[in-house]
Amino acid sequence: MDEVFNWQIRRKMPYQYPGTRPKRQFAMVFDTNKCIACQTCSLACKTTWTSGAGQEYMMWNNVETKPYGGFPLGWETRLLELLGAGSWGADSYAGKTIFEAAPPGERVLGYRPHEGDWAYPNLAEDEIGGGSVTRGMHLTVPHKVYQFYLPRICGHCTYPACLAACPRQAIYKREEDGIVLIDQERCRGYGECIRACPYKKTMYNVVSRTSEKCIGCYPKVEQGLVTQCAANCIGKIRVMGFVSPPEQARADNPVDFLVHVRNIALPLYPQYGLETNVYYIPPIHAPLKYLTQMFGPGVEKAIEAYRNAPQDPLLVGLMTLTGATETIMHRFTVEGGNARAFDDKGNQIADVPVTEPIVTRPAYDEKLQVFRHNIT
Amino acid sequence: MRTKARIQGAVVAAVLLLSATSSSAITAVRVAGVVTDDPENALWNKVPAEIVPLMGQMMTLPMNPSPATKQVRVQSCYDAEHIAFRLQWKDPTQDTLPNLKKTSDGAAVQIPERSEPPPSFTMGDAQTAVHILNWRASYQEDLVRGTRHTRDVYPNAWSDAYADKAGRLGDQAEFDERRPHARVPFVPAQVAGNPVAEPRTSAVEEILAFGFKNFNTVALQGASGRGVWKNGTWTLVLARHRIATAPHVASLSPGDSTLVGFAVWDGGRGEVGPRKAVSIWQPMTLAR
Repeated sequence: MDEVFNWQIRRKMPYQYPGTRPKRQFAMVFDTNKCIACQTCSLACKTTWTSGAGQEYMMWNNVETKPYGGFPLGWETRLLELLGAGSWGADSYAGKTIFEAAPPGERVLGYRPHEGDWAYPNLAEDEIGGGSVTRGMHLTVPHKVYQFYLPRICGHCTYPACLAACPRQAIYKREEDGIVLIDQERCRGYGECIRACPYKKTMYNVVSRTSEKCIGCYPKVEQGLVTQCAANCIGKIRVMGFVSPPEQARADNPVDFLVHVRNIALPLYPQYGLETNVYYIPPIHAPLKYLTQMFGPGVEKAIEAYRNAPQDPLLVGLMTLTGATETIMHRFTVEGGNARAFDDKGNQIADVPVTEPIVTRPAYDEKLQVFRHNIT
Repeated sequence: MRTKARIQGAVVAAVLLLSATSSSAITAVRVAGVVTDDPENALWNKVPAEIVPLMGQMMTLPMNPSPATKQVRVQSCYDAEHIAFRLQWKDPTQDTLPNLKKTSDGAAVQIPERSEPPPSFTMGDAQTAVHILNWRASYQEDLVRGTRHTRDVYPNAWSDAYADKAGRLGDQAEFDERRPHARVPFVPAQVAGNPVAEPRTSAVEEILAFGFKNFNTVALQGASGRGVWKNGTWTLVLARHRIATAPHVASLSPGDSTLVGFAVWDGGRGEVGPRKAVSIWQPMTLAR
């Protein structure tokens, strides 16, 4: 057992192996306020990677509706019940991580989902929480009822539970980009990773009899391209790049800017203790208490930062750049009304106007001497 | 001569019977012909049996404090070519194919490359390897079925199409010549040559281990086996070539003494890998 520092819970914690950070850490930011659950990301991932035998049920990327949906069902509530309540102290997380809460004889606190939990990825889609919609109900702020979509992939965590749990050491974290992979030659399908991962993003293949998981589209990342789910996102909600530890954050790195500078992008269930590297801009209309359980104590400030966007040209510029290019954005600038992105060599890969130019056509065309109708 | 042989046989049997109850020493008796594919063969009626107690694996995480199987009944015999073990243990359910809920029933026998000094019973150690005969009900099932489909395990599972129709582990539909890219297999573990994903040639996998953190699948001793489940009991025969030429594998000849260890997995209880029932070393002799 070793002790490592987890910046998301702001303290040290025990981990199976010595803590080393990769050269670059694969990371993503999802703006939940823009997700429409079109599931194009799920289709992109599945068509690319999980269309083989034994992979039929696998959703390495899934989009679930909160509060009631989940794939597998109840993935977070079942673990939170086992883990028990924990609280955030003034300086750090005061509860137990899943490593600290490991029962005797186990490396990690975990559970194996029921078989049927994997069979209903769309259960509770579009179901609201907080009450029911009644006659004569008006939209108010704050909303009386709520739901939001939560797109999920593997977090490629800094301290993965799957990696810690594997007795074969068949799971490894790449030094070059921090992507976590299951070695398909070494895995013997014990399924300890499935039991251990709190996000339930490793899955058993009954044909290969090994476990499989999101591979971070590493063949694309190696070529400087974003993941399939990010590239195909209709709503352009996904930023894919590399996150730095807080003390090395670079303000002109898109992910660092959202996570460390604006603190608008928060980790999912940081209290588990894995230092997950997929971050979320929280939905601004959902109840604060629920969101705090899910994203930690930074929710209120994140929502404030989001609402402040009209006064924040850098933030708006970055959001306009999101989805503008399939190449990974290593650096971005916003100046003179244009947002530009650059790859790791400094080449410009995107240039977008922050405000889309608006052209007004007069009702009467002088040149052609006609009135315009139905201008589209 | 026949009468003398019968008396000798009776004396030996009596001695063996006594030793079977007074210690856990296993005696492999010589037989005319080992039968490697029939665990219910009558030849086993004349082979003495030992009850070997099993305990949960408690040496490394994750542990198995309450193993499903408490003991295994062991017999062993050999002929000119093979040495065989017959194992019997109680298991309320027959679990042959692993799915999202449970794993496959299995059992294994390990023999160290040398018994003096004895290696760790936790699958050997860096100085002394063990050779393991690892049987899984799923391996046997694979031999019978020939191919694997998701529908073997989940009959109602559906997929409109499989990208790789020519894959060895995919559907057996005709390969579409117009789509040469469909030759790319979509089962990465198979492409990587992972032994658990490969089509089987034997129901028994051979493993060479230098401790539980360092083991690999090998094919050195022509291992084979077959198990039959009836009324809550598995009866399994495991066999391998007696003489070894590969390094780290012990040859077993008449008069030799060695150590042998056992492991059992109950798939219905989700036992797999380190979550197993194991025995400590049992002394074994090949009676001349």
